[in-house]
Amino acid sequence: MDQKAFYKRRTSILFIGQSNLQLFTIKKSRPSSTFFVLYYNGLSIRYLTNHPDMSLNRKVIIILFSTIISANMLLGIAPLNTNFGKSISKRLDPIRWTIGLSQKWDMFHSIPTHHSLRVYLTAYDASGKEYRYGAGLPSFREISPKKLIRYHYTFLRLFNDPLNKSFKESYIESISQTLLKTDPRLRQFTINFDHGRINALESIRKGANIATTRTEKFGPYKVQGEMKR
Amino acid sequence: MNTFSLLWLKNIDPRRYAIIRIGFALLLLFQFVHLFPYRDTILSNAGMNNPSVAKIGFHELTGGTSISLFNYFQSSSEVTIILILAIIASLILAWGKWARPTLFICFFIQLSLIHRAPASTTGWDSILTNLGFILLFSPLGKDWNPWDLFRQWNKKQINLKAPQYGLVLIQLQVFIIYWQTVIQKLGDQYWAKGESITYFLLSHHGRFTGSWPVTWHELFDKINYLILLVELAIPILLWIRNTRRLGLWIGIGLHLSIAILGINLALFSLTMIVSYLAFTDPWPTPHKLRGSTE
Repeated sequence: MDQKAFYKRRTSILFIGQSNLQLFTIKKSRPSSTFFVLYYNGLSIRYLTNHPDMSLNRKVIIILFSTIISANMLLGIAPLNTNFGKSISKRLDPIRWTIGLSQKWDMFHSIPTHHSLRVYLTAYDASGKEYRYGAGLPSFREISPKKLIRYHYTFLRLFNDPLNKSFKESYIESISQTLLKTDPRLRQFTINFDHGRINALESIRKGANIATTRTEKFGPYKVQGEMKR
Repeated sequence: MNTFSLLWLKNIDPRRYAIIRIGFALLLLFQFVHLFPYRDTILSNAGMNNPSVAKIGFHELTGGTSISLFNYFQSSSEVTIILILAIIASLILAWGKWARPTLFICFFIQLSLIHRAPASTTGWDSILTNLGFILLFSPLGKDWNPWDLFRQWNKKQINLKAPQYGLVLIQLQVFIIYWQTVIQKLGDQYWAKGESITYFLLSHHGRFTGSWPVTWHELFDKINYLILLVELAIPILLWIRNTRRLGLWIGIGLHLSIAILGINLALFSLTMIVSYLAFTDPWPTPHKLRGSTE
């Protein structure tokens, strides 16, 4: 029997679904209908076609969308300190961060040993006289990283993480330009962190203070209009 | 394969989407109000950085491309207007009017914050964009405004209309958030030694100052390990219908404790609690119809 005759003679196809036996009658005996049956069964489109209010295309799009998004999430569980995790992160992170699907969930994995943080500027004129300003631009207001937590993250990331070098240089440049507008006599400035770090628990138990505060100074930087990069 | 299709396409009561839409909209509202004091310093060109640097810095940090709205609307007044627009959009979203466009506005402004000031982001910023992205392509139960939902809360009539993929994706996201954070904590010396909670309470996050956490360290040491177990268990408990109530109690208890004992973490706690709405099912399908597509 040639292939054409086979398709003409066939009137029904019996196949086993995932959960039950189903009989499908193929009214138009053509190769395309065989393909349809296989497609219908193999890819579970049978289930998809049971939704009366939704087109098949929409259902396929939903499944594709859900599969891609869930795969992105599942790949995100690979620890970043493994080669696999690093490889996934390197390839996917640019897309993830651009569209808002980043998968970096490190909340509290690093314990905050920071007890307090106070950030302020000291500026000097030509005679060496010192002036003090807050670190909050645009008006040099005093900002409290304890009350406004984003400043805490911002300052520590800018000055402790080399990856934020561009932001740090830009912040220094912004301070420089704003200081020049505020007081043209100023020549240079430093950024000061009064940074309290929590002592070892054993030390605190033996009577030491909760934290030791040290002043970290960044600078001095020149007060100038435009800085060369 | 059928099970796989069913996982995404099974029909559920659209009121479940309405609940999470309203919860997410209120969460966004709090988020945009919270951003107000920061707007000049971290989002405007009069603040710490200008937009051209933000584009470069975002790429250096993430490898991505900055598409922030704040790269184009740079002045203090423009940033203020955008945040006010976001607040209005989140209120309209909660009501259910123009749900998709208002969600897009809120999502894009939230994404713009991350792209404009990646060094100033918090853990919950990424959760918001992830949930926002999923909801953007999901049913939103827009036919149900809060008032209608309240009035017809007890309506038992089964109204199967919406495929469940959006809620399943959010549930999966909650799994990944908790499990990835536990995996990372396992490699952290403070969590391994049972000191994390004590240090947390002594830190800048601690609401109640003083050295009292050191006195209670023996207890906090045990709570440290208990929290790791709880974080692993919460998504599983929420997933299983019979343990969902227990999961909700434990999860909400954990995050309320974080919000009460820590400062500046209420939005994080609220974000996680809102994500639990994807698990809750006040109108469960009668047993005989479960899995039915009709």
